[in-house]
Amino acid sequence: MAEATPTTTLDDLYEEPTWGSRLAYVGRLLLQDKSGILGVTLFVLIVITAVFAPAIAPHDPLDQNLGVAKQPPAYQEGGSWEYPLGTDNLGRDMLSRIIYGTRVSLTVGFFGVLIAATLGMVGGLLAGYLGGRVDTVIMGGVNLILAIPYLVLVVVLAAILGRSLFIVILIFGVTDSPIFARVTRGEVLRIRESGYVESAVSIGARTSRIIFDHIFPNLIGPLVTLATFEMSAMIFYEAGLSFLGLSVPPTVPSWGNMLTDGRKFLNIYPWIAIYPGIAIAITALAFNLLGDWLRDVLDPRLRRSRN
Amino acid sequence: MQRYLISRILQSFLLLLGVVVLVFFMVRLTGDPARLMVPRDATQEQVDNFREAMGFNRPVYVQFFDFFLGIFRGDLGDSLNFRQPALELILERLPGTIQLAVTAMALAIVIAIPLGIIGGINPGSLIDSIGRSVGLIGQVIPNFWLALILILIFAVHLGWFPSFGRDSLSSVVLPAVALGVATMGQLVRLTRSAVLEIRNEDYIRTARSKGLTRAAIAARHVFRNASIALISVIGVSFTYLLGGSVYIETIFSWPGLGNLLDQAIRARDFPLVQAIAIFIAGFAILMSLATDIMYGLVDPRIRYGR
Amino acid sequence: MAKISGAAGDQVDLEWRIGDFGNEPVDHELVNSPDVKFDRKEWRMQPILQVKDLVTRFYSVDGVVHAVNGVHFNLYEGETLAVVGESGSGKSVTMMSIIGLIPQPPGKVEGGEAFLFENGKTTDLLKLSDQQLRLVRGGKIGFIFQDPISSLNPTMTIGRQIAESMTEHLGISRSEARLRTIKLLRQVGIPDAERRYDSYPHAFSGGMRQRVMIAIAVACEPSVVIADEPTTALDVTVQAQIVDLVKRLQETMGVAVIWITHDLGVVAGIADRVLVMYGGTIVENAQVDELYENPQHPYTIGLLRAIPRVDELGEAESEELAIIEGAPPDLLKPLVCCPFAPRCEYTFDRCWQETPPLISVGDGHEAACFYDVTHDQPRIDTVA
Repeated sequence: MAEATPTTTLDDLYEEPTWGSRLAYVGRLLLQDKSGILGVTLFVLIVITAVFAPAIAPHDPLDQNLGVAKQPPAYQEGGSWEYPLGTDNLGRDMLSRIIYGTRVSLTVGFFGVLIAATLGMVGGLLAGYLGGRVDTVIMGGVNLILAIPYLVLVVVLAAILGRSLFIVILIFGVTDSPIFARVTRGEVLRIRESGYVESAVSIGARTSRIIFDHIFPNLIGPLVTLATFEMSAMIFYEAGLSFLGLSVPPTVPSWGNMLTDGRKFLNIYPWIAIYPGIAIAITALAFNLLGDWLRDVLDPRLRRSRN
Repeated sequence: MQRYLISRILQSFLLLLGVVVLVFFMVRLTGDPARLMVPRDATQEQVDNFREAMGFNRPVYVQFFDFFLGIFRGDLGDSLNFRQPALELILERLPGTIQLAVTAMALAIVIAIPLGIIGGINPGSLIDSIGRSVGLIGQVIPNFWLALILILIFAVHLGWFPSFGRDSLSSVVLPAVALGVATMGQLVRLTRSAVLEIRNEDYIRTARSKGLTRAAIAARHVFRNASIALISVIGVSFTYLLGGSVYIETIFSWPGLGNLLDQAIRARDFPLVQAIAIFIAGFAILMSLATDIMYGLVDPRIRYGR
Repeated sequence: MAKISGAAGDQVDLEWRIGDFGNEPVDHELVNSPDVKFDRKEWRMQPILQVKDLVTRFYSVDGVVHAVNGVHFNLYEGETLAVVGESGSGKSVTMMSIIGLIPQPPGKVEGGEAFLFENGKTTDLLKLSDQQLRLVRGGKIGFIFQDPISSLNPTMTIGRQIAESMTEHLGISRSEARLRTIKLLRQVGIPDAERRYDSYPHAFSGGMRQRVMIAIAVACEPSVVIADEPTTALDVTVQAQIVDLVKRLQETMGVAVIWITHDLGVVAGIADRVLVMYGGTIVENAQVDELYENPQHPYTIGLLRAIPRVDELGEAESEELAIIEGAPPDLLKPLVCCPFAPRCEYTFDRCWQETPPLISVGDGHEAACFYDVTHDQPRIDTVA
């Protein structure tokens, strides 16, 4: 007669991942992906630079000292280590201005994306969940804004509304929300199709509960990834706007402003234009790599079933 | 196919309508468009006269209808600065922008697509690494900065290409490169990921199970489907290019719509700004429609579908 | 009740599980031609495909997936071999491994041999170069995949998709291939073949598309066709037609078919022999009627018991559906004992110590089990 045998229960097969194990998993993924490491490291460095700017910058970025104006960077003739990247036409230290420029860029990027993501998410949720007329109207608005070349849209709005950091953030926030709306709506529709919303409804779950428990967790992945890329784009566009003289006032040290100045002196004092551009490129690189890595981390984890 | 065409044309038309409304009301956002357009040192009386003369005192919907109907007559308003009908100015500058955008697009396509395809078919290879680096660099370098650097190196130091104007054939090179690099970066990445995705499709497995050569699979199965996906991407990129032309044309003093827009903004010439914005958006919508039509022709599911 | 030809020309009565096959318009040209029938009496003698000790693993982020753990079987000329198992049992991976169709970066065939015998030539499939494998694929071994919608290139006409196989392997011209394809389309039951040659996949229904897939598979008259769940994605009525089509083609072309499925009803309708797979190994190998009448492996017994039977209502002790307790094995762990042991009611200590090999339990019947269910005791002579 066969002995009583232990049967494999479902509990043995599936372990709920704890935060600790999740973190370890993410850590493992990070170490495997070199560009991801670079992205994360750069990102962290940039954030630290922005936050601790006053401590890191050797000089006051607004301090004009005509006596040392137009000085080349330290490695060139005529330069000195007191102003490692040289000074601009008004005698302001380039390095300090670039460091402080990080603040403007990150502020615009972060808050702009915050507004865009919030507006977009709400719009997308309403459109996707309610469907019908609401969907048509919202998506009509989305397509409308997306039909206009972005820079043209932003430039015209900035020209009309004026020059200030706050207005620029607002403009970016509003004009970028369609992209978030589209992605959110796409996710909502996908989740709706997958049936477990139906089952939640059928057991009488309240709408808000459905949204929070089922839809939100699946939105986080794509939206965070999107947010990262859009932040990069916003930093670009802010610089572009500054370059055209439509963003923050010229006294505020923003990389775009510096490029405008630099353009005037391109032939004679090229460093005024070169370094801010490099700063923009490095920041964009950081965000891009970070975004790529986040996409790899968040997407398959959420959708792959542990078998 | 017909249904698809009709629906797309209708959509484009509605979009265009929406754009006109949007831009029109954008300019009136602050409530007093007159204030926007007069010099800062104008007296109150001058402002009031201006407002009267421009018809801003009329109810908004009257202003809108007037403007809207005017469009059908070819009247997009008059430029305050140039004292000419806006449409005239726009049409004058249009060829410049088209030349620049098309050249930039061609450049981007010729380099990006082969790199992307080869990279997608042989991921991890040398060409793939090159392609991905190009893609990343292209997306990361701000094109207005690149324009300055290009001028610095190729115009100032090497003197190979002119840095402004549209005089000779070589004038278009630097601006086109500056404008196209970002699109090139995007295209490489998108092509590569499209190819990678397609390679994972079931019908590629079927093709392999037939024992076809890798070349045959790449050409007949992968490429055909990838090019369909790419058509839409190229259409969207074109919209982006039109936007980028605003600063590139400015930097290179290239006579085009972007340059005109910049000038108009500096001069606070909002009737012209309005006209240009509508025109560029309309043009972008048209390009989008053209792309969709091409897509419909190439994808058998739409062309022969029901 | 219907009759099938079994081994050596016998006739066997088998109950249908899925109802009668549909009313297919009969292609008279085909049925009445003189040299059509393939003589089944001969087929038991020569294996056409022989697989020994096949091991395939997948290297993933989560660890090593032991998908195929020592698979061993023969395929005889002209026979229909059904491979039955649940998802994850390794049935598809086994067949795909043989001709290198598994994704190679995560997957790797780690051991074993696979021989193809035809026209007196022996080919070791696992040792072939890419170039040589390509000759085998489509030319000597054809494939039918599960989902006809995604398995066809949406941007190529179906005619060309069939013809390209012919031009690749048979060295004929495009126009010749076109003619042959049109004839083949008629054979698989696609009406208006001449015009349909130039149609695209989206214009066809699911059943029609699967017929196109079948045409692709047999285009070069291969000796083996591997069908990976070809009817799973189709409606039941269409399923019957496809099964019938494959049977008829098999009779005319004399091709051996490996039919991978999880549907025991289809197995009953088409198979000569059945392999039951579990946990990446074969647990039972028997002729179809022998399997249904005298299953020897506890898993097979459980499967057959689980089929709800309408005629047993009211007779059975309980009205509950019989299930197999437990869950499928975790393939991330290597196989050290019998894969079915955690769910088996007949286990004893040996089951947990070694993996049972395939043991002969009857004429042409093997089971990988140390326990003799019929006599309710561990097997005495347990050497295969």
